[in-house]
Amino acid sequence: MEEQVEMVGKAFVDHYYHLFDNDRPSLALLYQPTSMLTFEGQKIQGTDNIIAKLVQLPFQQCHHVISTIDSQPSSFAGGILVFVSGTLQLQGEDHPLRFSQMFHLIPTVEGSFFVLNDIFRLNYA
Amino acid sequence: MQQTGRCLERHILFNCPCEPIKIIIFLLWHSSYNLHNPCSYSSYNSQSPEGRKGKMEEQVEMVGKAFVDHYYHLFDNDRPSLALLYQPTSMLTFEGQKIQGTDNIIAKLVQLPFQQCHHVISTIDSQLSSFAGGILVFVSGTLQLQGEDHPLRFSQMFHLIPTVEGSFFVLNDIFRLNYG
Repeated sequence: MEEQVEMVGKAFVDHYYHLFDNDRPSLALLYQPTSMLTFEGQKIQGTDNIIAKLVQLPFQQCHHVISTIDSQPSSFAGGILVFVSGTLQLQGEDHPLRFSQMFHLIPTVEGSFFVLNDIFRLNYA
Repeated sequence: MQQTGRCLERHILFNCPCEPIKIIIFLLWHSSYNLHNPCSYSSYNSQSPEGRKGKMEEQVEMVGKAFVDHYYHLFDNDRPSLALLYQPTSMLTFEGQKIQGTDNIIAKLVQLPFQQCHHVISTIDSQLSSFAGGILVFVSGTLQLQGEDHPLRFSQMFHLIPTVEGSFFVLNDIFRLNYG
């Protein structure tokens, strides 16, 4: 069971940041109207508002490098909590930014997952 | 009346010498009072959905902050008492190591290789986990160990589940140091 939770966490993280770095609008498939994002303290709800925020971030190209992924079952009908840390390299910037992010994944009827809760913070020196 | 209530909450939160866990219970009582009191119910009901959502968000933030204050106060001053915040179903992942249940979790935390430590919290973000009042709390800050020159940066997330007594316990706990 633990292994499955870990595998789902890793697979999700790979998929999420691949989309983020290469096709940001497609992240819409991972959110629903009930989804909540807190991005550097700013609270945003629902797919449309969340995607609007993410595509409007002040950089075109970026690359996430993931250092750690920790997953646990959230104990509700197959929910999974995923806690990520890594670095974010922005095009044109000398130094990568460090960040932490957590996702609460909820199973969908189609057998996939959507992101119900999403919290992102940069880790400043 | 509303404003007096909020001033009272802030006063209790920051000045009351009573245990912070009682503050959490007070906040839950206060929020349920607002929902069930006939006078405030009508004013609650007459608020727009956005107004109600804003109030709910505020309450979630307050619970998150109260919990974080309480948790790190205990950690820095009376680590064994953290046992009151966990249950047999609780899960901790500490720097990648997975631990389950109050006893194992407390054993891990009290055996960490430092006696004295001090957490300084930089950010607290809270959201409803949408299941029966669960709350997700995402924390970042620094950890100063006695005798060490430089504080360590860390991030931690908690999934808080309401108890029948009107408090919360930690179901999920994940801790990571943030290295340079």
